[in-house]
Amino acid sequence: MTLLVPDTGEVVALKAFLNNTAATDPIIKLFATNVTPAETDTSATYTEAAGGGYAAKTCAGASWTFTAGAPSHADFAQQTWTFTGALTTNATIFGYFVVGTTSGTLLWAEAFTSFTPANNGDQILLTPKITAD
Amino acid sequence: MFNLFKRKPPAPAPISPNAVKYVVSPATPNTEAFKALFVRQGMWVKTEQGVGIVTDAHPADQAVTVMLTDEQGQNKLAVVLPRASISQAALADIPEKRRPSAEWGASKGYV
Repeated sequence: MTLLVPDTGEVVALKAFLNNTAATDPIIKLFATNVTPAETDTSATYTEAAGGGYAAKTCAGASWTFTAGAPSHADFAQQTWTFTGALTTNATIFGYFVVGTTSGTLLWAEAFTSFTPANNGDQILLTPKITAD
Repeated sequence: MFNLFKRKPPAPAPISPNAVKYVVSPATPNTEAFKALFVRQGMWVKTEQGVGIVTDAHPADQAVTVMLTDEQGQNKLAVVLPRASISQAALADIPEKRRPSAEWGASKGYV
């Protein structure tokens, strides 16, 4: 499934594009509820993973690379979550959602094949890439 | 003094045999079939099997993939349906935990 930019994220993008409100670093969080992203979602829709060595990751704006083309794209280095064991809330991760650093506003979300960390050293690898055509 | 109301109407302009005939859609496109044409990823829709979220709706496809949800808004079953068989959900159809405000919902067509 491709990522979904909900209404809240669309407004943030438009405001940054038109120099109304400066963008902030996006933070990637893994969610642990079995939901499909919808256009009316907010960050409150998602239950963030907790425990098992999990921590959210910040993708600093300066570290993205941008390439013009068909489509143009923005790329970020692969992110790795290495778990120390099982999560302490819901056990399974179903995707990730991205929020703005200071606002906490939902920017985009994507479901992926679910994974249940169980052992020390279990990993989830995610390479952020956004295309625009 | 001229009386404009007594003037004959102008003769209609001749129509070229090569002219393209356009059919104008209704000013208020509110039929279910018309609404079904405009599905988009992330949209809440109503199907014969229940309420769900569109996960794949390429404009060229006649089939739409929908993730049906339970009353909590969580995933229940993914189904592939004909585009014409689904319609935008009403606000009240959206599971309460994931339901937007009435104003926000109305701006997206959820009434």
